[in-house]
Amino acid sequence: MARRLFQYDPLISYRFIPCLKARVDHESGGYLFKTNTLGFRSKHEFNKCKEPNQKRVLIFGDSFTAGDGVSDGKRYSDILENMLPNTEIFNFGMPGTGTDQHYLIWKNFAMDIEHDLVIIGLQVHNINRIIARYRKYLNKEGNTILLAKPYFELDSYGRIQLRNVPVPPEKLSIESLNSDQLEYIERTGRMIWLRSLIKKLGPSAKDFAQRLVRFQPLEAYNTRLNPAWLLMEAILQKWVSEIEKPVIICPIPLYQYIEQISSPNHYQERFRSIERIPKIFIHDPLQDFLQFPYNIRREFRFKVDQHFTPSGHKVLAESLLKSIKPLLTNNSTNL
Amino acid sequence: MILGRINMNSTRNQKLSSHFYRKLFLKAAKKLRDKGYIPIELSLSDEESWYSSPSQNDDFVLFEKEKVAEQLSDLWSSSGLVELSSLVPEFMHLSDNLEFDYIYNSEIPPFIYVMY
Amino acid sequence: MINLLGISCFYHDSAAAIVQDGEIIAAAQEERFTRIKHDSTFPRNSINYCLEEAFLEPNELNAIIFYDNPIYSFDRLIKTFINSEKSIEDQWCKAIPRFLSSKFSIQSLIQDMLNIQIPVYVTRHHLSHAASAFFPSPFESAAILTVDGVGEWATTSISFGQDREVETLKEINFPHSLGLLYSAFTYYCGFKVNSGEYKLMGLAPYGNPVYVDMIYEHLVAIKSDGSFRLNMDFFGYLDSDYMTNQKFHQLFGGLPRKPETMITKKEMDLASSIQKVTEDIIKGLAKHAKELTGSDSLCLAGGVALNCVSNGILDNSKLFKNLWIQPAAGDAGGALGAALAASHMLFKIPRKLNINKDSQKGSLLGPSYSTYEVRAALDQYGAIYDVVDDAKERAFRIANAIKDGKIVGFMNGRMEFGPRALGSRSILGDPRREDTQAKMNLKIKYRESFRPFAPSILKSRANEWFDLNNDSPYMLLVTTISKDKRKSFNKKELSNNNLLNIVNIPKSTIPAVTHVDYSARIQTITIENNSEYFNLISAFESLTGCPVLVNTSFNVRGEPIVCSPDDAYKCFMRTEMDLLVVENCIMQKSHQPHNQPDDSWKDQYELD
Repeated sequence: MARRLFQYDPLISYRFIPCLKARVDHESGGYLFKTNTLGFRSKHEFNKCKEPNQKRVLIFGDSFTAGDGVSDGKRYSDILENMLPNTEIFNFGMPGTGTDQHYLIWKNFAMDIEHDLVIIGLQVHNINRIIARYRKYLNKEGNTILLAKPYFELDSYGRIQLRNVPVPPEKLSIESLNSDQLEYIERTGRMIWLRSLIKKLGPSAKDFAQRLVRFQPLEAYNTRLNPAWLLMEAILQKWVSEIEKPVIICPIPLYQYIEQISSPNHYQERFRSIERIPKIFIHDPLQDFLQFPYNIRREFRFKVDQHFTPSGHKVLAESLLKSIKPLLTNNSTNL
Repeated sequence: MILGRINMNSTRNQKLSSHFYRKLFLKAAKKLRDKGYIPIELSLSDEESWYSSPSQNDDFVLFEKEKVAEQLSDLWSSSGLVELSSLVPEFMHLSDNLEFDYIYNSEIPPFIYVMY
Repeated sequence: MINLLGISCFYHDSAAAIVQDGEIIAAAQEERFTRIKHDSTFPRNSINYCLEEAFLEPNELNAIIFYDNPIYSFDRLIKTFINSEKSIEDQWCKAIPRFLSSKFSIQSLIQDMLNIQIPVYVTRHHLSHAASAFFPSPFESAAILTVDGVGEWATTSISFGQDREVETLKEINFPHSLGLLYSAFTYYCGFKVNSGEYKLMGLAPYGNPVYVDMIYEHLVAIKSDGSFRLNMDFFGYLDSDYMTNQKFHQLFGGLPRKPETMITKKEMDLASSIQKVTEDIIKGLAKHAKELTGSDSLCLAGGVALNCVSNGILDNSKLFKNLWIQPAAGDAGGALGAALAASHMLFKIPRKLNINKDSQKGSLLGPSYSTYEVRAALDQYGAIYDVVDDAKERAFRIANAIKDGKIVGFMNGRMEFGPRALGSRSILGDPRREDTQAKMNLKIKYRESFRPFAPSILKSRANEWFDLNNDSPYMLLVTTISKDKRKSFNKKELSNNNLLNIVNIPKSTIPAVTHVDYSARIQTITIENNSEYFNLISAFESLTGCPVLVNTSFNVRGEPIVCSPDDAYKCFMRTEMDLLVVENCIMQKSHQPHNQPDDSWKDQYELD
């Protein structure tokens, strides 16, 4: 089997193993990356102080930000760094995690680091992760296992309360969970019948089937009172309250939105609604993806894996640049 | 990612291979043997058993699947083995028709990681 | 920078290797990753590892070199079928689809994996072996002898290497094959072909070469020029699934020995006889290589070059002043040879020669694991370990445990390339103790072996303990233990059929590594080859006065040698090993949770 990439972390659930030099066999042809001494996929060591005249951006997110499927240098954070003069970008992206865990990464590893801007690369699918307490993974033998994760609950005052920390390190099987616990395994999609059908037909049948049924992957965004959205809103509000610098929240669209299989209206509406919170700038990159013809847009993800290809990362970086530039230029003082 | 694996137990593969052997190969082999062709040198009595060095042209050959047929055909024609070179298209046809088991990794749900 | 990836697969022991501007960067066998012994499938994991180690994108590769020419191999396959007048449809239906779907598809398998169009060259099988032996050697020029089962048509080749060229001078062709002859006896004596050959070699010292004349009379004809021919009337491999046939069985008085049944005097004598014949043939071939090239140096590769008894005899014969043997002499080494051959001969990269040191890098060409990775793995299993950062303290702590009779699993640094564990993935013990051999065999390897283990010795002390002419860093030479270290024993025991009684008789002051003929498969250690292992043996010497450790591969029977910290910990927990060392982490079995041996591996691994 390939090299182990993650180690247990009692707060986050897991992190990359520090100082890794790894190659992941992948349909892209494989990708190479290194991790720093803190266990993040970054060429930078996360020093607390900046050099004079240096700008610094901290980016948080999941696998789309960490760069699953692409080598170091080809991720949107790396491309942005090349586009921005005298700017270093610290990438705290962690595959398979949710916005709740990204907030914990901020608290535990980032909040003392001098910076000018924070970007939360919020893959819209994260709304399902923050309500989950267990997540499916594969072990090295290729079998499915469950791992617990930290999670937040809203108390009666609408405040977030951290649960399940330290995260139990034990691997669990689905059979070991009771019916209540089963409800908290992260949902990887609806329509089980559809998934089992497309397994038989192969990957290209999946797009066709989703179009056919007007697939809407994330119903938690449908109403502003949905418990998952309320939790998301509370986590973001709390997180942003701890940041003195401007914060860009970038809802990273699933391919179903980029390829116009599903309607983005609900999630866009939800994220627009939090722009009222001070310091938050919502940068919605969907429109920049949609300006390309369908056949090009299909190239923004891999054939099977849904993560961005290098061209997908490039579009996202170019899109984000429009929001970042003015904030970095104008931001000499705290907001 | 698609992982192709030959299905060694496939009835179809067995049938295709068997058909090739019986209908095409045995006839060609017999013809060659009847002509006095010795495919493998078995004699014990030869004084020297060394063969002279192979051609340096064979040290590195650019390998392209599309050219396999041509290379095989050239090899056998240049040794006068027309019975074999005439079978090359059939070999390629057999190769194209063998059954593979395809494993799609889409069997694995998205966003699942190999962990621990 | 010229980056070349070499690949060998679809026969046995698939592997990949990467060479940058002629320098060996990485090489590994697929079995270590898939945990399937002798895995012959497309080496996807090995390729991934090689690109990881070199930290290269696929588009930075200049070419990929396959170690064998599929056109000529197919030609041989088809002509073997033509040769048979009887119907061998079953063999056809197995062999042809397998071939068409593997070797002919090599280009598309590579492109599917790396998602890139890249030139794929094929080279000749024996050129791959010859290049793997010559280019890493410390010789400016050398005769090269390659001997194996078969590759394309060739089974044996003599070449001459000079500067950046290898010229093949002569070849012997299929079916006349020393490798297949030895495998036929391996099969007949009840061992597995392509993996049990070393057992047959280890059995030989128990027997007498009483069948040598019979072998020469009926099976092999050796010519005055060192070449040879086999009498195919006695072999089955041209037209059946078996190595030997009825006539062979009649000649040697019965059917092949059934695996796992008792080994008798007959098998010992057969092993001794075929070993003697092998040595004769190898000497004849080497003599002819000397005549053809006039060289003082000889390089060896091909599966037969793993016969370290014959290598030792060749070394002692002084036919050549210098001898260098590729440690991955079998097909896995073909991946390395293919990449090296293309580097120097096709891409014309000048050879950087160091006459004092080979460029095989101690054959430590596989993955290593950082202390972060080790601890991440151990923590997952809830392992209880001490972190000992000080190298000297670590060495003494392990050496003390070995002195006290503990058996130690030892993993450090990069994994070995080739079939031998050289101190990076090894199980170690005290060679002085009479119970070490039995304990390591029965409680750790789970086998009843008639073979003693191999000794690792500090190079500076080797001549005091062994009769050694040459350096043996890769455990590829068998030599004898010095007379003053030997103990006499009742030779009548050798007529006893119970090998286990014989093997446990102390035959020297280091009984665990001394064979019945006082021979030992020796590994010499220097600080340059493996500093961690060197420090450990030095510590053991300073505690005991003995600069020798027992070194056997870190695995259980039927399992590939461990690769990762996970493999090491699992193997440790499955056996009765006392101590596990993985980099700077030291674990005692008695401190581990659930420290009962687990037998489940026996279902997982097919016994060898």
